[in-house]
Amino acid sequence: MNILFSVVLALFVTVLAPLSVADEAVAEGARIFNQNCSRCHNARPAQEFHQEEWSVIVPHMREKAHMSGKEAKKLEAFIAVTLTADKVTGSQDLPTEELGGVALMQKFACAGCHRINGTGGAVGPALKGVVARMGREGVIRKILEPTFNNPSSSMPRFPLSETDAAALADALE
Amino acid sequence: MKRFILIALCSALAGNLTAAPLDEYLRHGRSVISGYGDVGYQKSDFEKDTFSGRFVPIFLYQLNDKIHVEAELEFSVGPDGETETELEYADLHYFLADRITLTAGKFLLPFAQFGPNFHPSWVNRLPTAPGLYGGHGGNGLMSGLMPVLSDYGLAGQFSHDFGGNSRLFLDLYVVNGISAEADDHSEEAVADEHEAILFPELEFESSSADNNDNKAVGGRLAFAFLPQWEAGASFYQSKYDDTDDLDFQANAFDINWIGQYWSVRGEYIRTEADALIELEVEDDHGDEEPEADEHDEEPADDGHEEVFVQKNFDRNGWYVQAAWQARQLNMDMLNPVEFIVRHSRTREVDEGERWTFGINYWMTPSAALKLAWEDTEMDDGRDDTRVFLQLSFGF
Repeated sequence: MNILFSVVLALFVTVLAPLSVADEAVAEGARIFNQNCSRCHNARPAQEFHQEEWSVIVPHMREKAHMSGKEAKKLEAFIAVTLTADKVTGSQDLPTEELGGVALMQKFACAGCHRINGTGGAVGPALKGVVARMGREGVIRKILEPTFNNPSSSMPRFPLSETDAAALADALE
Repeated sequence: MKRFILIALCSALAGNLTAAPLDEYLRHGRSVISGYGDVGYQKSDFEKDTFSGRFVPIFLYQLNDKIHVEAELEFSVGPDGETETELEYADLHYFLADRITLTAGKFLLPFAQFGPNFHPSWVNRLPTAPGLYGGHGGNGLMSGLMPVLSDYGLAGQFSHDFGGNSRLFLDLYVVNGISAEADDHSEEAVADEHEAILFPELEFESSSADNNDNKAVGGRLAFAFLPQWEAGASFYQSKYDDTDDLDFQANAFDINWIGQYWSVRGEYIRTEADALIELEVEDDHGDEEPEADEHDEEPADDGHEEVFVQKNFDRNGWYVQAAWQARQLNMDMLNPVEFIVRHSRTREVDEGERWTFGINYWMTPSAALKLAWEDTEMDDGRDDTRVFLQLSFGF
């Protein structure tokens, strides 16, 4: 019985932990993005460079911002999840994540830049009451097209479908 | 039971290590060309109205996870119409440990914040440099305090994570150091009959060669509570003459305070420079000879001796800059608009103060159309007013 329990426990931790470690790295990367980029300049959205380019730019910024190597890797991981080189945000071709709004917020580490329920970053505005301020359609459009109301927005263009954006808007209501 | 749980956790941990889930997100590139540039128009009563521009590519190469190479070139056109090229920096970073980086080559000196971090035109919120950086993108009547922004040498960078958002940053470096420009008698200051210093005429330059065996040393220690604020103290010390007699020292204190819609930056810099002052002393009046260390004596035909004494110039200056982003008003039309005000002050030699007011329209996070008005009033009565229009971009 004990052996069976330990095998099940090992499988459970082995299967789930890599996902949580990676997700944690992404969330941490979002926090590092929030902590460092705006210290000197406007944060630049991930889609300005390809992922391979970011892998060269981040070490350059690592030295300038006094980031550690681990922090630099986590920052790259966060940038990576916002990039899909061959997919366009809102495209019908983009598969719906179908995770639900709360899970999507966790996956894409919205709290790295936005304050949600009292915690989070300050690069972007706090999300409390955002649906009331912008309207549900406005929030959906902002997620799919971050620069529509501000050409200097540093919000990344996430690889999300319209269904996902609507789920996020619902979660923010 | 505990033993089985321990075994299960250990095997899971081993599995996690071999799975290396983070690598799934990461790709490796080799090189990137990024950089910045600007084009601007300046209207001044002091000088002819002019268009100007710069193109500043930055070449980045990643040799492997440990070695990163970077170089920045600045291309511009000088007043004579000739293309000017300047190597801002060209260095190699070696990431020795997670929080230790070694740098070799020509690098931006980690002295205060404007030089190493804020000077690119798309990062600098205004079209001009603060008054105390007169020689580095500055303009008008104010002269700069810190002679160089980059130099050849070695540097070490260390940081410490106190946990949470608290960090300690330490930069130390040794570089060739500054030298007095060789084409004039620049180390000779001028004094009037009361030994009041009129102007130091100290012009410094850095080059790949050093004019003495002495190396300049410097560093910066900073504490940060990310991302809200960072405060740092810097020092720099160099001998600048051929015989290692004349000393230049600089100290700075800087602060960077970031809010969601606003930022405040400020620096205070103090410099001390030894200089030889030429005094004329009559031969038969020993009581007029200077009390300071005599450096040289040359008999003159008119019965006077030219005596050089070593004096110390103490200069200081500061600037404070505040920026506010109008997106706080939550009006779509004003989201890309930013307002900036900066006050600069220099004391001792070229004493004066400067107010700069600017408004920016950000077309992208790294491209801004800037309009600024700058008024300089020197303590000796001279003044200067300029208007700048600049398009700056980072790429």
